[in-house]
Amino acid sequence: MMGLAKHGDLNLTARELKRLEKERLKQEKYFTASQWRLMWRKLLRHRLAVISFVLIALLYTGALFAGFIAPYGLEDYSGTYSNAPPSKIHFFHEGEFVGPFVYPYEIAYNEFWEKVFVENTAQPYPIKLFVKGSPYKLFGVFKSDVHLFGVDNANLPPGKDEVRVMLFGADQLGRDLFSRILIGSQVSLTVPLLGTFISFVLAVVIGGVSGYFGGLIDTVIQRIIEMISSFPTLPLWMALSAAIPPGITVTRVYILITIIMSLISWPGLARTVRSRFLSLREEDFVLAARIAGVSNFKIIIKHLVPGFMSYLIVDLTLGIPGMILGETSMSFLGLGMRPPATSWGVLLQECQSVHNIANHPWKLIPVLFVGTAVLAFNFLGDGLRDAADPYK
Amino acid sequence: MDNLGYIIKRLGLAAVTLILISFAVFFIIQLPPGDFVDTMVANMIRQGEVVTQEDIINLKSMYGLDRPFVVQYFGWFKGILTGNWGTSYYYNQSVLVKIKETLGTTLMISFVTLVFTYIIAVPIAIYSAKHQYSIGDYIVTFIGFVGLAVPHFLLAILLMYVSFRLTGKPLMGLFPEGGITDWPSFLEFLKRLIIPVIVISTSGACGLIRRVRAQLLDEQGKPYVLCLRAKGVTERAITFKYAMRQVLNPIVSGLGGMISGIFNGSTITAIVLMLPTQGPILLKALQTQDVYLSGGILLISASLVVIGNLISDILLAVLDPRIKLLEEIK
Amino acid sequence: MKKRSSLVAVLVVGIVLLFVASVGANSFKEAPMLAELVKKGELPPVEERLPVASDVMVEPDLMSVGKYGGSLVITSNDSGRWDWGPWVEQSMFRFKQDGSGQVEPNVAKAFYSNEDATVWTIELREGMRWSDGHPFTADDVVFYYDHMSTPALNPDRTPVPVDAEGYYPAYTSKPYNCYTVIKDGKTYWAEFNKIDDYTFTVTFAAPKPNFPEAVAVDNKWMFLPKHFYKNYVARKDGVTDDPTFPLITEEEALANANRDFGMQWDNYSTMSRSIGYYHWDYAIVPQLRSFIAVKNNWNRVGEVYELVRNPYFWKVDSDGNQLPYLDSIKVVIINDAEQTALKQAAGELDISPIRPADYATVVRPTQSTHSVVSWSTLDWQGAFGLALCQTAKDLDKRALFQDARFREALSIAVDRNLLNMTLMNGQSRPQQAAPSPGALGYDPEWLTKWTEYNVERANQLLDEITEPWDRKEGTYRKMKGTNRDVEIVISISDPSVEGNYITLLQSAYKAIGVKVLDKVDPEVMKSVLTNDVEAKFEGVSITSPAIRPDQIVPMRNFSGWYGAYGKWFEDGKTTANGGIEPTGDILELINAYEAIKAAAGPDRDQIVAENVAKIYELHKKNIWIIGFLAPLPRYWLVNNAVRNFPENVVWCDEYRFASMARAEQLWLDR
Repeated sequence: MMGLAKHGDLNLTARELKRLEKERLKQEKYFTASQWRLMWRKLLRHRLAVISFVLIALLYTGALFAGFIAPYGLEDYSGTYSNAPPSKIHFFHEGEFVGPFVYPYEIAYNEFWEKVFVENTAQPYPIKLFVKGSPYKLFGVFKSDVHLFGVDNANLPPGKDEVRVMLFGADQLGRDLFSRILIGSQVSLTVPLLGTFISFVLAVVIGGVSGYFGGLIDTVIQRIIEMISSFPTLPLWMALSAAIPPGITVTRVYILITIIMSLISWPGLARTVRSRFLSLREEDFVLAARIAGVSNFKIIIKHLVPGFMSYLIVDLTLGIPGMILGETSMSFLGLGMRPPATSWGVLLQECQSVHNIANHPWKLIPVLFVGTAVLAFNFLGDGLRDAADPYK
Repeated sequence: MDNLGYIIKRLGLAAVTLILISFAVFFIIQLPPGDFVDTMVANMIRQGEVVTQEDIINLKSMYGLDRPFVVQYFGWFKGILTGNWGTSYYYNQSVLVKIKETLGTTLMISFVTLVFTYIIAVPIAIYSAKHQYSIGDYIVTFIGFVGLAVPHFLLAILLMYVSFRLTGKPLMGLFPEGGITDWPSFLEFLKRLIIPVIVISTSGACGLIRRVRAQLLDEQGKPYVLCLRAKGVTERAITFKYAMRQVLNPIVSGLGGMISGIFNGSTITAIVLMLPTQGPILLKALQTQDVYLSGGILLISASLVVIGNLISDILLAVLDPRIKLLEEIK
Repeated sequence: MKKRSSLVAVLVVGIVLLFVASVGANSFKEAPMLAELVKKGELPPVEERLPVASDVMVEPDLMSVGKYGGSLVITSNDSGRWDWGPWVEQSMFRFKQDGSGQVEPNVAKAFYSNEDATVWTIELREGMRWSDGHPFTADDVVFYYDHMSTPALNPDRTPVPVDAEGYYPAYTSKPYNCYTVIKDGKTYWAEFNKIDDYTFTVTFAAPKPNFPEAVAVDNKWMFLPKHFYKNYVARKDGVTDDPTFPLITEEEALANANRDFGMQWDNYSTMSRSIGYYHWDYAIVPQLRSFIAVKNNWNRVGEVYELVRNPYFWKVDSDGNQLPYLDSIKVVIINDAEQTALKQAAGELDISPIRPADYATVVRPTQSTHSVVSWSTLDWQGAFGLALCQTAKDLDKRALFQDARFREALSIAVDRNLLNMTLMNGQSRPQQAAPSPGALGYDPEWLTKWTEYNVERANQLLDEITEPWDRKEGTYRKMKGTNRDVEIVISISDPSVEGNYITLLQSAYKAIGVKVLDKVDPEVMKSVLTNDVEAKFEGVSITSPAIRPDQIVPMRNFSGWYGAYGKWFEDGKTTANGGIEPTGDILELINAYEAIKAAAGPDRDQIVAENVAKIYELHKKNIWIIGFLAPLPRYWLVNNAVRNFPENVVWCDEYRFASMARAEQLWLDR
C-alpha cells in the first residue's frame, strides 16, 4: 500500500477505495442505525416515555443553566423573607396594567407567634428579565451576575430590605426555594447518572466474568455479591460517611457520595447480568462463535450483552431513581451535602418537620421535583425496554 | 437426588456467605471513629459526672476494647456459634434477650409487608401487561410508582400528618396502650399497621411490578404463545397457565432483594413512626457503638436475606432445571 | 390553667401553717384506691404508712387542695431518666420554689450547724417509710455515704490516690464535692455519724458553710435503702463491723444483682454504677419518691412508662390528705420531636414543653383544651453561644482565640437581627451572652457589649492581628506569620439542630475573611475532655458561680471554652495529664473561685458576694462565650384540667427542672 501510494493514478484508486470504504461504513451505519431508528420510532409510540424524556431534558437543562435561571444564590439570606410563602405576582397597580411586579412585605406576628406577611401596596417593584444579582459561575467557568429574571429594586428607599420574587416561597433562612431547587438539581441529577454509570461498568464486567466463566471465579464473585447485597445499607452509610473527614470541599463530598452510591448498587445489577449470561451461554450461537474462534471478550460484548440489553435497561432506569432517593436518604441521615451547598435530599430533609408541613407547605415542593424525576426515569425506562425488545 | 445435591451445595455456600458477612458486619460497625466507652463517657459527662482519663482507660480495658480487632472478632464469632451473643453495653442485657424482645414484631411487620407487596404488585403487573399502553396501564403503573417517588421517611411523616388532619389523632406506634386484649384494641392495632405497611411496601411493589410486567410482555411475543393462540387456547389460560410460569422466575429471584429492601425500609420507617421493631434499637446501637447489639441485629437481618436468596435459588432450580444443570456443568 | 396571684399563694401558705398545728393523729385521709387496698388487708392503714403526726410534711408549695384520681400524661425519650426523674424525685434538701436560691428541708425534717459550720446535724422524720414499707432511718444515710458514695479513704479521711495499688472506687464511682473540704491543700472527706434512728451528724475537717446548698446541687439523694442494697454492695473490709451488713464478695454481689434485677452486668463496677447511681431506673428499688415505677420500660420507644402513686409517700396537704393526688404519671416514650409535636397538637399530652418552632403548630389546634404556661430560665443566651477554646491545640489559633480583639470581631461581624428573624422566628432579640434581667450578675452594659453589627470595624480589628488581607471574594485571612487560613472548626453534635447556625456564621465570617468549618462529632463532650474541640456552641445557665461554678470557672475538665485549663485544676494544678496552666484573667477566675470555697466566718457572705461579682466582671471584660440572642422563656402546653401547675418558676438544673412543679400536689379536674 505504502509503495503504491506514490503513483498518482493509483492514488486515485486509493481515493476510490476510501470512498467505497466510506460508503460501506455508511451502509453499515445505516444498518445499525436503522435498528436504533426502529427503537426510536417505537419509543415515540410510548407517549408517557416521550413526555418523560421531555421532562428529563427540561430538568437537565435547568441544572445546566441553574446559576442563570435561578434569581438568587445559595447565600442570599433574608430576615424579612424567612419562611415567606410563594410571591404573589401582580399585573395591575391601582387599576393600571404595569406588567408583572411584586409588592414588598410588612411583617407582623399574630397571637400564635406566627409571622404574617402583609403586602405594602404603595409601590410596585417590577419583575424584569436579565437583572443583575448575586454572582455565579455558569458551567463552573464563566463568571456572571446576570440572572434570567428578578426584581428591579431601583426604587428601593435606602435602608430597606431588598424586595424579592420567590416563585416557590422561601426557606427558614429566607432563601429562595426555586433557586435552591435548581442549584440542588446539579447534585441530585448528576450523582445518579455518574453513580449508575460506575455501577453499570462494574456490574457488566464482574457479572459478565462471573456468569461466563463460572466455576471458582463465579463462586467467589457470587459470595461477594451476596455479601454486599444482603448487607443492610443503613450501617453501611453511617460507617462510610463517618469516614468522610470534616472541612473537605463540596466537590469531594460529591465524588464520595457518588462512589458510595455506586458501590452499594452494583451487586444487584451484576446478579441480573450473571443470570442472563448463565442462560444465554448455552445457546447455540455462542457455541458457534466459540467454534469460530471468537475471543471470550468479544463473545461477551458482541453476542451476549445485546442479548439482555432490555433487562439491563430496565435495571438501569430503575437504578437511577433509586440513586436519587438514596441521595435523599443519605441527607435525611445527615450524611449528604453540607451547607451552603445543597441537593434535593438536603431540601427534603429540611422540610420533614410537622411545623413545616402544617404551616409552610410550599417547602414540600422539592418532593414534586424528586417525584417527577423518579417517575420520568421509570417511564422512560419502560419505553426503552419496550422499544429495545428484540422479540417484538 | 440431583436436587438434593444441589441444595446441599447451595447450603454450604450460604454458610460461607454468612461467615463473610459476619466479618464484614463486625468490621463495618467498628469503622466509625470512637467506641462504646467514648459514647458512655460523653453521656456521663452530660449528666454531670466527673470522668478522668484514667477512668476512660480502665473502662476500655474492662470492655476489652483495647484488644486487636481480629481478637475481638474471633471472640465474638465464637460466641455466636455457641449461643452467647454477648452483652449489650448500652442496655446491660444479653444481646439475644434484647433481640428477642423485638424480633417477633419485626418479622410480623416484614411478613405482612411482603404479602401485601405481592398482593398489590402481581395483579397490577398482569393487568398493565395485558393492557399495555392503555389508560388503565398508565393509571395503575402510576399509582404503583408514586410511592417509590417519595422517600420513606417523608412519606411516613406525611401520612402521619394526614392521619392527624383527618381523624384528629395521629396514627403512630404499633400496639395500643395496654396491648391487644380485645376486639377494639385489635382493630386499633390494624389501623396503626396501615401506614408502616404502605410506606415499606411501596418501593418493593414498584420494582416487582416492573419486573413481572417486563417478563410477561416478553413471554407474550414468544412462539409458543403464538402456537397456543393458534390452537385456540383462551388468553386467560395463556396468561395464567403458561406465561405465569415464566413470571414466577422474576418473582422468586427477587425474594432476597425484597427482604433486604423491607429491612432497610423498615429501619428508617420504624424510627419515624415509632414502631417497636429492631429499627430504633439498631439505630441506637449504631449511634452508641454498642457493637455486640448492632452486630447481632445486622447479622440476623443479613441472614434473613441470605436465606431469602437461598430459597429463591432453590425454587429457581426446581422451576427452571436448566439453571441447576448449568451450575453442575462446571 | 387558672391564674393565681401571689396573694393567693401567701394565703395558701398561711392556711398551711394553720393546719400544721391542727392536723392531729388519726385525721389523715388517703386516695380511694389505697383505702380499698387497706380494706382488703393488702396495705396497712394510712396512719401507719405516714410518719408520726408531728413529723409528717405538709407540702408548703401546695397551691390548692385537690381531688384524688386520674393520670397525668407527659412525654420523654428513651434516655430520659433525667427528664422524667425530676418530676417525682425527692431531695434531702431542696431549693425553694420562689427562686431565692435558698434551701429548705424536704426528706430531712430539719438541719442546723455548729458555730463554725464544721458539724452539721440533720434530723429525719420518725416513722417515714420506703415505698416497700420498710422504715427509713439514719442507717440508710450512713450506709449510703460510707459504702456507696465515698471512695477508699486513708485513716485521716484523705482519699487514696486514684492510681494507687488496690484502689477501691466508690460504689457509684462518683466523688461528690459536697462532702469534701480542702485544708492545707489536701482534700478531706466528711464523717457521718448516726446519733439515733432519726438524727445524724456530718463532721468536716474545716468549715463547710454551704453544705446544704452543695448537697442540694451535688448529691440531693444522700440515702438509699440499706435493707435492699446490702445484697449488692461488696463490703470494704475493716470499714465497719455492722452485723446487719453481711460480708459478701464482688462476685456474689454481682450474681445477686443479675438475678434480682434480671440483667446481665458483666462486672461489679458497671453494675454498681447502674443500680447505685441510676437507682430510679429500676422498679425493684424502694424509693422515697412521690410516684414509683411498676415496670422498667422507660427506655422502650413507643411504650407508656407508668409511675404510680407511692402508697408510703410522706407528705400531706393542708387538709391532711396524703399526697400525691394523681393516681399515676404516664410517660409516653417518644424519641422524635416531630411525633411529640403531633401528639401535642392532637391534645394527647397534659403537660409538655413547646419547642419555639412548633409554637403555632401545637398551640392553635389546642386552644380550647390547653393553655400556655411560661417558666423563666437562667440561660445567658437563646439557643447557642459560640465558645472558642482558650486552650486550642493549634498554637497560632490559640493565640488568636485568646485575643479579645478577635472575639470582638467575631461578635460584631454577625447580624443578630438576621439570626433572630430566621432562626428564632423574630421571637428573641439581639444580646450578648450574659445574665438576663432579674438574674444574679445582670448588667445592662454587659448585655449589649459587642452587639452592634459592624463588619467594617470587625475587619479593622482583624487587620491588626492577622496578615494583610485584600478582601477578595473566596479568599481568607492568613494567621500572623503563617501561610494558613484563619479558620475555626466548630464541632457540632447534630447538624439538623445546629446546621442553620453554622450556615449563617459561615456566611457572616466570610465577609471578615474568617473560614468556618463544621465537624460533626456526636461525642463533642468527650472530645472536650481531651482538648480536641477547637470551638463549639455552648450554653451557660447558672444560678450563681458560688453554687454551680463549672460552666464559667475552669475548676474541672468539663467545658469547651476553657478546655484544658479545667483539666489542670481538676488534676490538682498539674500539667502532667494534659492540663494547661492558666494565666491572666483565667487565673483570676480560679483565684476568685478558691476564695469562695475557702470563705468562712462572719465575713463569709461578703467574701462570696465580692468574688462572685469578680467572676462576672472578668466574664464581662473578656466575653469568652460569644452570645447572639436573648433566651426565650420555657413554654409549657398544659391541659386546662390540670390544677396547681405553677407559673413563672425558674427552670434550671440546680432547681431540678420539673421538680419545681411539685408533682405530688398536681391534680386533675376532670
